[in-house]
Amino acid sequence: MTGEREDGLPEDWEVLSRADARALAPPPGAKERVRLQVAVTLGLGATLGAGAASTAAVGGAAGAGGAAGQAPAAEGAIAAATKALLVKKVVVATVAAATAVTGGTAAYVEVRARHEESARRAAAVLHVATAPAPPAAPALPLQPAEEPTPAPVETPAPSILDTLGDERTLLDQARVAISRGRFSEAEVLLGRHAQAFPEGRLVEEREALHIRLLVREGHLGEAHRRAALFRQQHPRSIQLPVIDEALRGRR
Amino acid sequence: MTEGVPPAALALARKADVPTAPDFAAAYDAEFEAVWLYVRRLGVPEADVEDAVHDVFVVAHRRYATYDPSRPLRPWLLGIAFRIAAQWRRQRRHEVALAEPAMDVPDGGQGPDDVVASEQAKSQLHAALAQIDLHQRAVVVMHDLNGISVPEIATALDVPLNTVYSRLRLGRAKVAAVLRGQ
Repeated sequence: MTGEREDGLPEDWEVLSRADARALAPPPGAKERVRLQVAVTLGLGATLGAGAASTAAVGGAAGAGGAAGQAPAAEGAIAAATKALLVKKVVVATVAAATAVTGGTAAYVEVRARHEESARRAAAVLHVATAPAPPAAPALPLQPAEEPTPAPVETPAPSILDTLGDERTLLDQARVAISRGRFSEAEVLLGRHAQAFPEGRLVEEREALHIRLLVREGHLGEAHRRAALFRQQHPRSIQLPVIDEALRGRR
Repeated sequence: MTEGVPPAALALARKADVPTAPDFAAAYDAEFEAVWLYVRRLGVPEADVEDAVHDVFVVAHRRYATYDPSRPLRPWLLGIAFRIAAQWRRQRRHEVALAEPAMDVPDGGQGPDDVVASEQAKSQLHAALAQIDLHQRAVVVMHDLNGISVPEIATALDVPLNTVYSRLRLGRAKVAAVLRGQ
């Protein structure tokens, strides 16, 4: 280090900061990988940027490409990212189970980290190997075939994402995050619920939690606005006392 | 050097509860690197930074109603990034505390900044920043590396103006001392 500037920083501050920016710069492909994940989480599809797919498909060449005419590839990559996100969502349930068994936050943190890393690797593989989506399973006929099936047909296990239990898991985690002051995490969990269950059975509870989160973060104006809208849309909701209590909590 | 705020990224054009997809995509393109560098400089390691940046943009999208488009976008985004980085650090500290038995910890445990320091001695400045308090670091980086004004920082971090000045003064002094080798 040489002398000092008037503000007390070293004279070579700009040289140091440029070197720092170079050292910490995102690696090739990171921007597009994150873009895809954000698009999937928010349900924005290909609209968050068409440059994503081409980059992801080649395993992460740098560049802010992006042009028209890449929509099919973009959809493929987004489908891949969606698969990765589904893995993550299944992991949420797995982790919830682990937490229930052990009762320990440590297990939660460790398992989540491990599985999210797996999901990230899976996403990378899927990006590279993105192919047209596999054909959908043939729909079951409404009427049974002529011959009665002697044994009960082995139906596939219901999607874990479609169950009330999964809605409950996400919202419970969001509630815990709010009460422990982990507001960003709560925001993400509520967003995941909204993404996975836009018409879910617990949407009123989700909205009530969202209002509570806003209150806890000090965004009272937005909280009151959403509460008024909620009251208008769900005048008989069982969540109204919960919302009123949350709003009173900061008064 | 200040990584100034590009005019194109000063604000999302329209005010609504949710930004339009093209506006959000433009903001993402303009601000991705700044957000990335900010969370890295706040101590989130390379292995976690993609998740952290993802969370920043997801939260920004969902909280768009709280953004004032008459103000520049970057400070608002970095304010979100600060909260997410702080959350990561709390989580990391908790993980380390639970994962490592006391007898295996030579120097009182590896905190987030130790992780950063051991992960990369890539940059002299980064190593110096890792030595200072997170709140001071958040201000020094925003002001002296991102070129954001003190009033904007106060708004973004939701702290009083004088607190920002104080953190900036203390943070600068510590960084300079570390860089001098004191």
